[in-house]
Amino acid sequence: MKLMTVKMKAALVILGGILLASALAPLIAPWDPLASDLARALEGPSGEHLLGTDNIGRDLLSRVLYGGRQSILLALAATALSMALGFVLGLFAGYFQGGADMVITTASNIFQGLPGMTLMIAVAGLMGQGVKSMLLAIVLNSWAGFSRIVRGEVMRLKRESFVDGLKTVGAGNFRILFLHIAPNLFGTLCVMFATRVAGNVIAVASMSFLGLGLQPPAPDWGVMINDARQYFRHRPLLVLAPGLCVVLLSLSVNLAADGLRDWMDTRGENADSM
Amino acid sequence: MRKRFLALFLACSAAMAFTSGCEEGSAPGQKAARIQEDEGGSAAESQKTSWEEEAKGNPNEETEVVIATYRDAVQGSGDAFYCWEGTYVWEALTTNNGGVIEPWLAQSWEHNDACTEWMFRLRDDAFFTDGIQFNADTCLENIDRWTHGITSTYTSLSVEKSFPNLDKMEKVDEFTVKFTFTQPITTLEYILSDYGSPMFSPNCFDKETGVISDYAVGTGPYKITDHVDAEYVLLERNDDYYGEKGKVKYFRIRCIPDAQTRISALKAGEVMGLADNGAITMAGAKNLCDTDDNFSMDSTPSHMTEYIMFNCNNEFLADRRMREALNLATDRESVCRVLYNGLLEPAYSFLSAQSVFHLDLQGEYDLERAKALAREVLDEKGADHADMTMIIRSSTASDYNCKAVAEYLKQVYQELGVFFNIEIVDSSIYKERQQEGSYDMTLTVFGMNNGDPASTFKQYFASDGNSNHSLNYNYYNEKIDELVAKAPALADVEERSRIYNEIQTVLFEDSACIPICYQINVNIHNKAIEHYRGRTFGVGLPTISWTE
Amino acid sequence: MWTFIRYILKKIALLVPVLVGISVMAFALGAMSPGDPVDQVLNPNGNESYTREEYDQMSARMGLDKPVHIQYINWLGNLSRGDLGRSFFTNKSIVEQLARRIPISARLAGLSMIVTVVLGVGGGVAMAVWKDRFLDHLLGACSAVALSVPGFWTAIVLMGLFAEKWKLLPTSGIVSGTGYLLPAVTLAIPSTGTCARLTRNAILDEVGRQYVTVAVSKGLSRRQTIVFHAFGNGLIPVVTYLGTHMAGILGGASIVETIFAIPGIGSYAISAVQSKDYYVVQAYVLFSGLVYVAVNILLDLLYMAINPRIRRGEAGQ
Repeated sequence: MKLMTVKMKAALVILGGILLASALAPLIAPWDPLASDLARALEGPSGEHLLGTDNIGRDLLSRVLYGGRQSILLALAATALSMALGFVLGLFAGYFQGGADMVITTASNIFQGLPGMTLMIAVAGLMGQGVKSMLLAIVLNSWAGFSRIVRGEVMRLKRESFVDGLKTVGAGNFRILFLHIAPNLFGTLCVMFATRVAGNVIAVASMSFLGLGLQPPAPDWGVMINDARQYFRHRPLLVLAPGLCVVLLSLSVNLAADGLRDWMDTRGENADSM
Repeated sequence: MRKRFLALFLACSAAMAFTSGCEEGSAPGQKAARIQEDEGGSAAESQKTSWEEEAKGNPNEETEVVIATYRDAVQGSGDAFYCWEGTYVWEALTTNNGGVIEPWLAQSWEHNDACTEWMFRLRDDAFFTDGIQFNADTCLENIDRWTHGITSTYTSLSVEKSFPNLDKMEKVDEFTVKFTFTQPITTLEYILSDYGSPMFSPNCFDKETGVISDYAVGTGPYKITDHVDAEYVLLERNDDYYGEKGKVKYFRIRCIPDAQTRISALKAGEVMGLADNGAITMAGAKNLCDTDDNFSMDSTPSHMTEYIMFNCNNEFLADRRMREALNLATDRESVCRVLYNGLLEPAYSFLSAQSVFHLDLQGEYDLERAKALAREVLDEKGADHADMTMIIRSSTASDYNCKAVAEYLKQVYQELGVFFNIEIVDSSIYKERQQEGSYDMTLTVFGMNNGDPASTFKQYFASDGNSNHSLNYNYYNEKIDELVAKAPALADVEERSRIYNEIQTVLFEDSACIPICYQINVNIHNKAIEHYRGRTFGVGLPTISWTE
Repeated sequence: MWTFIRYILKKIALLVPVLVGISVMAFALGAMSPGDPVDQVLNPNGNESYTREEYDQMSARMGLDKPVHIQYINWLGNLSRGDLGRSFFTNKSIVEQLARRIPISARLAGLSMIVTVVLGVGGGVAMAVWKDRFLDHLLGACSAVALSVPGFWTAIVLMGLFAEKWKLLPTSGIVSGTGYLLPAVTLAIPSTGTCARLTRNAILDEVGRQYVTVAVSKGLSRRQTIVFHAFGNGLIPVVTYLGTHMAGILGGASIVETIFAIPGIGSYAISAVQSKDYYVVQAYVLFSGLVYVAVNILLDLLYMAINPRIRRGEAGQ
């Protein structure tokens, strides 16, 4: 199966579009997303304001363009951090097993057993609102999932013959771990990362919706959806536009992760059958 | 073998999925019906008795009116007041009606010249809904109940708070009680109003602990007939009420915590009206009424005002000119017109328009002069801009649309060179920040409850004012100190009024704080019911009736 | 048989420290939160004052005057007696509240699971059977969209359309049983999408295996093979997912419950966390941990049933 299926292409186009728009927002946004003009509040789409304005007269299109930046960066950073943590712990647990495995597995069970949303709200309450607490909350919530998968994969790889071969040759544990086993996980990691990022984009949006995210007046899709709820009947675009963006971002990442996984699977199959 | 086990397991897990937490396996439709039956007849009734159906006979007698509030109207046995005053179940000795204290269970009262002895004459025709008469004995038993340290989510209730410096209380005759104090107390009737002196039937609370057992029994025009925690409370009219009886026989007060969901429920016709704090935002109410003919809005005056309070320890805010600059840059007219849909009045004076002593000052909006003043202060300090932090309590932000106001002002003040961060924090962090003084400005909404502003002025603006210190406003003005010291000594209301006018003028000219607008209480209801009027607490349930 | 029991006991023994760990974390979160519950109880509106004495009295009554580790031990002690304490603010017994709210959340979770299983597994099977045809692509696209939509957005849109505009269902509350429908569907949408894709992939994985080719060559139709053979074996990842998902939503779907005014444990937890009601948060986290542990054990039992190698104590998993 080739990597660039129709599905994959579509996903990358959408994702690319969103990332590009977010990165170039300062250049392409027609208005300053923070500039408010009370005289022009809650207007519908017009020549000057393509998507209309929000409740204090800020241009919706500009806010939507800027709205993804923080969420995307946060989702990426959070996923990368949790994956790093989960990867290292999973690696040790899977390879060395025994005592280290028990401790790490118990710890990962504890964190997986903690209710996600509640944990996030509690951490935000503890550390105050903002990017740091959202980051910490997401990492605490998701590292265990990564570590579990990595551990499983490492244990599977360990049983493969090449590891025994390396040991007979006299390779030390760390050498085997980092030079041989870790690279084999690359494929799995990529897919895990892509899948998890989509979930974290939604987690960030949910936390912003609950008021735990960025402080006002920063434009952020989740915050925009929450603020605009009361104007839904009057100006539905204020809720639909940022909502659609969240859906598109999540969808494109999901589809891309799918495409990647499908390609890896078939590659693996071909390798097996060789 | 394996296959059979598997099949069995599949069957079990399917059954488990179907039955987890509910009745035996049934299709969702059936299940819904069964749950409906389980919830009891009242659930089925509320389906049938929707307001759209023609009721046989008088709808006021047969059809319940459903109202929604953000919190459960009945807090239950763990709460000192058991339920919200807006349920009209319990009554107090006096009530505060728009700033004026009116008799309630106490018909009249008098005190000696020294204000150390107070006599209350109680109604002789008030009965608890379980038949017991309200008299001096039951009154004193209720006061005794407050000594057990019972707490509440509404406000605190204790003898120390309601009767400060009480020496003794005694029954003079069957309907008269007398309170003696060690220190003079001038505003006892204010303190006792509403949540200051709730009266319940002695049969419904435990003498030792003061805890009320289900359901609370009061003297009010309605009584509780059913309550499902966090869902609804059913009220039925008290037909033996001494005063004006309720028009509608049955009320259901539903608890819907999410503000937008409440509006949805109202729009869908599931509830007829919204009540209690933060029932609906100004914008929400206005939009609904403008776009849909079925609804009408009612507003009652409120003593709450929206202010920006300063922490004058900030080097820039300590300078009067900077404060004045911010004051001049605040376009209250636009804020009221756009963010509050023209429903609120701009505020310039500290005292709310509802206060008897309110002075009608007129300020102005002058952005250019504001910029000049701010520039002056910044240049003197050698800074090219000022960085500040504004904190807002999250409940205030959502109830009063403060978030939008803050976001708007942030842009405006930037033109003056004042850059502030907005931090919306929850109640406990807000308190902490205020007590620590780790903020520069706060956008807040508050108001005075009692009639006399002397204590409020002292509290907030005098050098020894306790709120001035504990909330870190750190405001210092000699003239205010002088005036505040003079006021309580003056017995003549006219003279006091002159002092209060002077205080308000000084506060205004010194820009001690920035009042933004005077709030109102907005109540919204479906036109199918009428006479839906807001009161100090809740809406007047007894006056509501179905429209002909 | 004996290995079976030993295996189960070993699993339970491993999970006890997890429960302890969860309870400690829950306690720590509460204890470390800023804000003072004693002050909140004595001064609910922020403008009342109290004496040092009153503060100390209330602190002792709420059990907050002791050092944190003593508080934890007291809490454990009460727990063993079935007493989870009382809410700081409403004074209501937490056990009673949980007893009332858990069935409500459970009903919601159950209804949502039914939708997920029926539509998700059904959809997944359909996609596998008609692989690469139009239906597969259509359902695949729907699944992808379904799991990309945030729950709160679906809730807003569904409530706006079905309840407010078309008045088919109640906007909120469970006064009428149909009030469970909209929130259940909202909850089910993302998991239906995931479940459908998982099922499809699981079946197709199995279909690629040797024994299916054998069955087909013996004369069974492709469809029959999928439905009767591949389905059963491919079940494991799907059941794993469903199990953990069920554990998650039994723990209370906080946002959905709050938006739809469902008085379950999810909304209970959210308001407790926001008002710093420690004991409630602890009880809730403990309950959620228990559910998670229980589901884990059940899933392990299932694996054993499906894979006899584990039953026989092989394959050091």
